[in-house]
Amino acid sequence: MSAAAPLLEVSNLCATFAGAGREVRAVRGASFTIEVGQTLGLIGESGSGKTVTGLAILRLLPAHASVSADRIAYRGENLAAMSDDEFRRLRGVELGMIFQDPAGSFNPAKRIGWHLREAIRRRGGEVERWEAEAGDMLREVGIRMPQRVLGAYPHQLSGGMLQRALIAMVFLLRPALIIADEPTTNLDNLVERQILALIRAHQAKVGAAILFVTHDLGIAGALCDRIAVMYAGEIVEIGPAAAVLERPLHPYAQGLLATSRSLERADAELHELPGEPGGVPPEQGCAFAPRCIHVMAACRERHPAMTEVEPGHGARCLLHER
Amino acid sequence: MSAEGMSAAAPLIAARDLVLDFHVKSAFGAAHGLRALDDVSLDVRPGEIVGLVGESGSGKTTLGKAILGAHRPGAGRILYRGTDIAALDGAGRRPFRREMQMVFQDPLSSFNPRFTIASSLALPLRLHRICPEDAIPATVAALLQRVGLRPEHAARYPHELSGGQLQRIAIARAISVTPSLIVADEAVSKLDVSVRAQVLNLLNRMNRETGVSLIFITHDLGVARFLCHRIAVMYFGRIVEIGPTAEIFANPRHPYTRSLLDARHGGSGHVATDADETALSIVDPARACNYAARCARRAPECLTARPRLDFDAAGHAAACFAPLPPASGESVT
Repeated sequence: MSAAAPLLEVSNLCATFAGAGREVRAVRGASFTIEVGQTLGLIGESGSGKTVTGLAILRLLPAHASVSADRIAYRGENLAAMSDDEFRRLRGVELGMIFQDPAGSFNPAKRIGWHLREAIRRRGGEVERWEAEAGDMLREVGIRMPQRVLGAYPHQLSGGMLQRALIAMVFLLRPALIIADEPTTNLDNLVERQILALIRAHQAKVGAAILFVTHDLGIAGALCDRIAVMYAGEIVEIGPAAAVLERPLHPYAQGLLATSRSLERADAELHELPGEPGGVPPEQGCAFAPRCIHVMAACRERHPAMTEVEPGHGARCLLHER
Repeated sequence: MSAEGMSAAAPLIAARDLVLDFHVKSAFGAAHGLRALDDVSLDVRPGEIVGLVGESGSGKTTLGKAILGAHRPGAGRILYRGTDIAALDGAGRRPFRREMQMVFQDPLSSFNPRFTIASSLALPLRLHRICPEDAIPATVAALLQRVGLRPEHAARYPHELSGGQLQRIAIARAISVTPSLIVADEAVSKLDVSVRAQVLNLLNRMNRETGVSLIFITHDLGVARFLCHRIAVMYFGRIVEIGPTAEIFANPRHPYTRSLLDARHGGSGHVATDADETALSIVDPARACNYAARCARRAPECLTARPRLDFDAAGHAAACFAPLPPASGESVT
């Protein structure tokens, strides 16, 4: 590994779904890098393309999706040039994924123990000692009676327990990069905080990098080093987490933050962002223009380019283009 | 009469000592009872927004549905302006139906996919004879306008609208029959951040303009703090703490409430493990605090007796033998 190469480099990633008579461009030219041990938060509302971005990197999109990119490189090696067989050797072991719905990640006919044993085998670990290692890992993710969980089938565990078991399975694979897609959205507040703490503790211990997909600004602020804000398939703002949350550049990010701040303050009237997310982005101009309070005539004609406003912090907005 | 009844306004709804059991069948046929509501009492005053918060499985939805009559409690009374409606059968309950409406979490599944919005909104107007037949289109248009939508949305089908728009229409449908109570069950949980604010502002405005009472069920304390006048914290079928919103946030007394509030403020790094009740010597679970297994402040009597909700002068109560000291000076906001 060369010192200069980031762990993951994504440049101009596009993902398009061909549907009945029309195309849906779910991801439109996303570019970002993740350094070793770093956490990048990908935040956005439903339909913004954040989940599809993660799935596209892992080649997990269905066949009717077409993915293109100028470059997807892992440790400097071009993933796009790899055959499916070669890529499969990387996925899971080097590139792990935690999904929102843990049940879908388990074989319902096999016990949790079987899954954890498979993870250790897949990694090339000592299969003879699997039970001890899996038990230790379950204890690490806050499961007090690992023996009971190892012997349980997925449907016998609660959502929170199953999410912990999934996280234990992914941790056992020791991936260098974990793509976590809203891993706590279906969980209660308390369990959510516990699981975020687990992810952080594990990251500090083994130095894994994380692409953390979420719609929750609070979580992104607590967990991430850098934040990318997605809107209508594009990254409209990217930068260090503190800078994005304290000095958002894009009117969309500013609106989201104003809303969550007014909720935190319990204002008498919450700050509203006009309009609705989703919908088909306009053919030309800025996708956020229809909802933007700073919209100018040029916004409906010219597509804004990503412009760096301060070091490492940029936005796609004509307000910031010079 | 409970201490809550001492307040000036007579309650709109007074649930008293509700007990509700579900019979759960395991995969192999062995049935066992699950106590979803365990001796729950709750008052809702006219024009009041009461938040029910707690984790999934704590009984907050069951309580809301029991008040609406969707679940019949095994014991206890539900007084609607003084009339016990818990014991009424379907026909007896009919006069009260218009008074109590519900808004669900998933707006798409709460509309008939084959009906236009106009048809869905016209149905309750007709059923409860809210307006003459020829005034229905105008009433529907006025309802849509009230929730910030345009009259042309009436011709659309549910799948043509976004989640936020549909949820606003669900609220329009609920208020169309001028109810005195709306039970909103996680009504903003599935909505995007930018749309959530729109719907919360709408619920707040409807409450102010029409004086409708709300039971607002949520697991999101931030949302509850914005909207609710009072908050009841539920844990495993019981209300463990209840009080004015500002009191609950500034001065939580129950250790469970405190841990919920702490969780909001993120990253303490402390990882609690799952409950291990077998390690505790609870002789009779019916005579122990149901939070004892997870509680850091557990005292010996927590395993042998049930703490009661005792209200103070401010209308704040915590069911705990070892409550947190009032106004500890530590800021939780």
